[in-house]
Amino acid sequence: MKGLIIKDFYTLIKQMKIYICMIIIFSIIPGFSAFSFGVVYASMMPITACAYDERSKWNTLAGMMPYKVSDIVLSKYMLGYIFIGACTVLGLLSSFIMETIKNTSVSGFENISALLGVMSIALIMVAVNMPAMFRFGVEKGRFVMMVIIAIGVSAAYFTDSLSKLGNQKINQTAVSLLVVLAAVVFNVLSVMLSITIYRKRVR
Amino acid sequence: MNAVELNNISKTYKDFSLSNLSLNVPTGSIVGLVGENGAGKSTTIKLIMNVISPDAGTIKVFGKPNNTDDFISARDDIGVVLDESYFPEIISASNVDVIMKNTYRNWNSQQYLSYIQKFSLPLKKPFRDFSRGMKMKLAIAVAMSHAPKLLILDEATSGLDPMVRDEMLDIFNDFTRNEENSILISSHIVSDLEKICDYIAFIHQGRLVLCEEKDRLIQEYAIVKLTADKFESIPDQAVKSKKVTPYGVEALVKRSLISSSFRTEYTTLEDIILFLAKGDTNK
Repeated sequence: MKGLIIKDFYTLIKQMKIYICMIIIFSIIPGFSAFSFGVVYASMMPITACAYDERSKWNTLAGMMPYKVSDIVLSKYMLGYIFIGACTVLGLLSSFIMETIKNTSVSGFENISALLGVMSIALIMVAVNMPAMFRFGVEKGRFVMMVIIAIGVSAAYFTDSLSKLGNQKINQTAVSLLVVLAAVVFNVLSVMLSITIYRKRVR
Repeated sequence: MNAVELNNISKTYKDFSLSNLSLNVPTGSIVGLVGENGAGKSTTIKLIMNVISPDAGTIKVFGKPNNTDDFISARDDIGVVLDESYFPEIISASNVDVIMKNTYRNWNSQQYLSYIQKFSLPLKKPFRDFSRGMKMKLAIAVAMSHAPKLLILDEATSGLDPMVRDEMLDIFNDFTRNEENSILISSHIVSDLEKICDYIAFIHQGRLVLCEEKDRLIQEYAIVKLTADKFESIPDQAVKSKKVTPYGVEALVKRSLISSSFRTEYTTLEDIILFLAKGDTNK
């Protein structure tokens, strides 16, 4: 699988320099919104890698190399995890440095749980997007992804509005933990689904 | 011992089917798979590599079924060159070295770099700037640099100029000097196959029409050009295929089954294939 991930890195780093720079900048700008942008962009990297694979018909060749279907599928998830993980680490470092310099909490991260929550949402996006990419291909898959994001954002807005109506203060730590758990469960199920879809698609 | 064995393989798609295909690649030999575009050559190769599954039949590679987990590691010993070189357009030959080092157990960087040098390929240039010939050379360099025992070449020489094709054919010939090495090469350039193959398998419309030793094939078959009257005196079982023209009948016949009084013409593999593909097989 290492070879597949290296191949994706070569492809992405050479073609997506500006895009990757944006992700890094967003991740290190102190503040929750910028960090969220960075992580969400990072979660889209596997889709971009899939697009380059489709264009070059790489999967036909990879299917004849000593790789299992699960390696080919998992490598794309790993790519997403690596980018999201790197953004999170950059976000944490940036936050830590800013707090140290100014000797105060100015980062915009109320706590680690908020950051974990954003990271988990990005992981959930990977989990939701990848089966669609493997099933429909990148073009149609992107459309499915947009629909899913729109539904997710609407649901979050609706939940937030409801809690305000009920005048309930959301326990952010509990929500974050719930989102982390959801990210793990979604990803396990998503990998299994993607492997099944990929097998059926190529055969 | 056969490097590849296909037994009664069938695969059906909406608009195409491969029917009851049985074919062996004996170890140490070069088997040429010939047929028109869409005859089923690439499908056969995908089936051998277990990229697609057959609807019926069994496939063994190096004596073991290709639908088990063991086959994944067996792919380490198989070099594949497809009709196009499917590397991402932005990566370079030096990137390919790193990728393959992390893909094939027996990857030999030194050998790969010596092929790159031998083929005069640029090491740092992105793949998108390669000509078709350069792309195929890169694919061949990759296929040859992980100590394969079997080469599977799908239209690897099509689209190349005659000089490059000849260079590639020499490399393939050298590869089988080691008796443990075998090649399955598909092509519709019959002259290429005639140069290097020990066996010829001809697939037409998803069916295996013949699979024979090349030399025997050329010795055994002959073309006769006769008037319609004279053609009637040729035994039915001797005629494999025929073309009726306003001037008479041209027929592909089995030399051993006709009288030596008939004048036969020098027959190339391409003649035989064309007759079998286009001629009328009913006498």
